[in-house]
Amino acid sequence: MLDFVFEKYRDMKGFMQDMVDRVREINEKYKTPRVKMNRWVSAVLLLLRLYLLCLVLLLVFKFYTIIKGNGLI
Amino acid sequence: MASVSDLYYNYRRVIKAIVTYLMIAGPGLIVMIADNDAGGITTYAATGAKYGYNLLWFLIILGPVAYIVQEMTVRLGAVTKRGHAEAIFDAFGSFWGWFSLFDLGLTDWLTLITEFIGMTAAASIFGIPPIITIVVVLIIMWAMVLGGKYWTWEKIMLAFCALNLVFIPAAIMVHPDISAVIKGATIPNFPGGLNGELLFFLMANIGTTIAPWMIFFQQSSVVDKGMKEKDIPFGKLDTAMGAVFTILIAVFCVIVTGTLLYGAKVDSAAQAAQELMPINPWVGTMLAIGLFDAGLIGAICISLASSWAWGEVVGWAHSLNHGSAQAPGFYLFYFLTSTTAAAVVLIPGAPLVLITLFVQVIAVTLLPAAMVFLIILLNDEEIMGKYKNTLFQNILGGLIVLSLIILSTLYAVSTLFPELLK
Repeated sequence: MLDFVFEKYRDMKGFMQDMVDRVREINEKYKTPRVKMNRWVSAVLLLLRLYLLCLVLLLVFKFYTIIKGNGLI
Repeated sequence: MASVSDLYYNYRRVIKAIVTYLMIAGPGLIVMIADNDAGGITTYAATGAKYGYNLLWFLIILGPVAYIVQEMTVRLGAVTKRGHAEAIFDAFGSFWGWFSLFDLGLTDWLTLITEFIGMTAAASIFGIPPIITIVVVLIIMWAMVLGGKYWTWEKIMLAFCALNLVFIPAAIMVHPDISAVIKGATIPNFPGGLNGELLFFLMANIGTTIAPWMIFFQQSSVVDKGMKEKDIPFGKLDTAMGAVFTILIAVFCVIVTGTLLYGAKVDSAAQAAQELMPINPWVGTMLAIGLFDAGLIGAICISLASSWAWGEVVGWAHSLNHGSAQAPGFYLFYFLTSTTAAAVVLIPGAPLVLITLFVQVIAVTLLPAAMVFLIILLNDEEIMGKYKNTLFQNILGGLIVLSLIILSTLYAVSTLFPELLK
């Protein structure tokens, strides 16, 4: 029984390691953005990050109000 | 005067163009009609019941808007031979790539749940239990892709799309006031003034016309079909035809509920179909069939949009021309997303209303990014060459993207905090 558990654990570990290696490979492959990063593009991407940050904050605030409303905090 | 040979030459040229178009047609028509998914039909049904024919003009404006955004994906796909997810990784690096991929996966999965909600609700009108509906739908969805031929899949999809035209005879059967329809379609007006509720309806209609999965789906579909630069004009025509059909379906759906349910409170298309049954059983049945079909088309396209995107990036074989043995990861992803989304609908007490609302908010986290990336990519001469955006296309596309970002953000915020628009 214990051998079976260890075998499954090793299989799972191998699978996770493969996934991590694959992600690293993808990150390496796309390390350098191909698009020309002029001032406009950089500014737009910065605005996009700020926009997404605001949306995430709004979502977090909404969840906080829901949880607070349910008396969980 | 034209000679017989000239006439014959022109005749052959027209026939050849039509044959070529029929071979290229598909991605644009399918994506645009799939855009009228279960959520879309619900929005149109509610819009008709609330405002009658008064907002038809607004729906008509949305046709060119959808065309302008989707046309860019045709050019990008045909030139780069890459889907949108892979194009984002390549052009903007892995941070934006992973963000888009995970956000697309989540948005698509949540939207898939809403498609299954729509289909089970439509089938329940005919007394079919949800479990039967879901099993049958999953079998159809799997059988369609396992054929190992993009061509076969596309033709079956086009048949489903043709079924979506059921709203046209339904609208004719309700005998609408033609002069009122023409007035509503041609004279812009804001019934009751531009108040919070009307703004919410306008934004909901925009939200259902442009969805982030559409950008990913059409570009991947163009690549899977093997379209080349020379096919771009036909791809554009295909997208324009799709935009015409999507607006036709939306308009006729609004006419149905605007004629028979004007003034009633409609929360879903299934409810509208049920309320129509005692008034006109044929029209009620047609609306239910249309809702089911819309959900099915949407579910198939959305599952594929995610599977294509993940396949492109992770490096799995990811074409409908591959069999399941050649592309196991691609098909497994397709099966897993569709099955898990369907299973959620069957969970007793699952927060389906909350999921339906949450979809809109999550979609807004992806839509601006996907559209901004599209515009930037279409302006990169190194990537697009002579197919890059012209100044006119940039002004038009830029204005549309900016307007869509503002309105969809307002929609998401008003969904999260409804008291803001009251």
